[in-house]
Amino acid sequence: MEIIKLDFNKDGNNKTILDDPINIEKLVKYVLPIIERNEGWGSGDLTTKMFLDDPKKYQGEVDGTVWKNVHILMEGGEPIGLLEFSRTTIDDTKKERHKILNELLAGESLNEFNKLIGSDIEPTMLPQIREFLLSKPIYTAVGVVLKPSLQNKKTGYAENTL
Amino acid sequence: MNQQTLEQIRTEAVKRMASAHGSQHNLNHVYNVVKSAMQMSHSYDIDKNLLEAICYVHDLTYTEYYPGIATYVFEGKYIASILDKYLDQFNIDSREKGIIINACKRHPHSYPFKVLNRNTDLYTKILQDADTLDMFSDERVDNSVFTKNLKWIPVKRLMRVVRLRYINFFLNIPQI
Repeated sequence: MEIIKLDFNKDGNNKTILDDPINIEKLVKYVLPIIERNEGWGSGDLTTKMFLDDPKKYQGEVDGTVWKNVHILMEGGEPIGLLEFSRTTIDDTKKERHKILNELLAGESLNEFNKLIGSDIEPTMLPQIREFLLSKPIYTAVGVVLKPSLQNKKTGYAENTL
Repeated sequence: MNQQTLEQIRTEAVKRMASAHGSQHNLNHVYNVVKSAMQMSHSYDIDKNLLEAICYVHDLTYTEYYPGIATYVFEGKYIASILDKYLDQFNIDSREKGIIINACKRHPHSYPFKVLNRNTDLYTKILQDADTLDMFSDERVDNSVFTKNLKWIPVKRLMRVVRLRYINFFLNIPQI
């Protein structure tokens, strides 16, 4: 299994340029097969054939799929999963970062954090944790689409703790 | 939630959903979710108008975004952001607004990812279950590109089997 990073040529409005044959080739080879095999669970209706008939008609669907930092999980030469995320730095999102930190270190989030590490975080430790978190990049949105069988989710369920 | 506010939300949401992108999140889907949710809510002492309003707005994401993997993955994030502004036009208090946003934010990914909400409020659980039930409906299965393109595979029959045998794995309140 391997992960490859896909870069797409985008215009000034962050739209994928669909006149670009390299973009088309990447979409057809790595992205559309994942959508086509989704068994109807909601990641789109687009097929390779529909797309190739008139790529520009599906500008919205493409931009609703390949967003930022697109990575493809490959197995046996076939794309089986897509991962993408937004990464921001401290300088340009300072206000947002502090908002996120406040959310992370208060209320329900802190309870989840406590559960995760198996003990209560002492209030005296909060400034130290805050400083540690400030030194890290923030991934504001991370998304993965992966075959459920690869997530050990054949039975049971996962809790949404967002 | 009073009846007048519900009617305002319903009218406005239906208008917007009429132009939603993609075949899987259309008005029929919204009506099906409303119907299922109202049936499920009979056993519970909850605000039925609020639940119905939640169902009407739960897929507004698809009025602003086209279906695709990113939209699907980040649907919860998108809908929370959309509703935060959208709901301000209606006469609802911050508690109701919070319930609506929370339920809509947490509703995606029950099938096939089993990201459920068994420890949250009833509005969230019922919305997600109603949405999941429609995902297994004949209409939704027929509309999926997977079914359309692989006619030689009895997908519909397979989905029926899954629905009957395994749907409980994907529901918050399987006893309903």
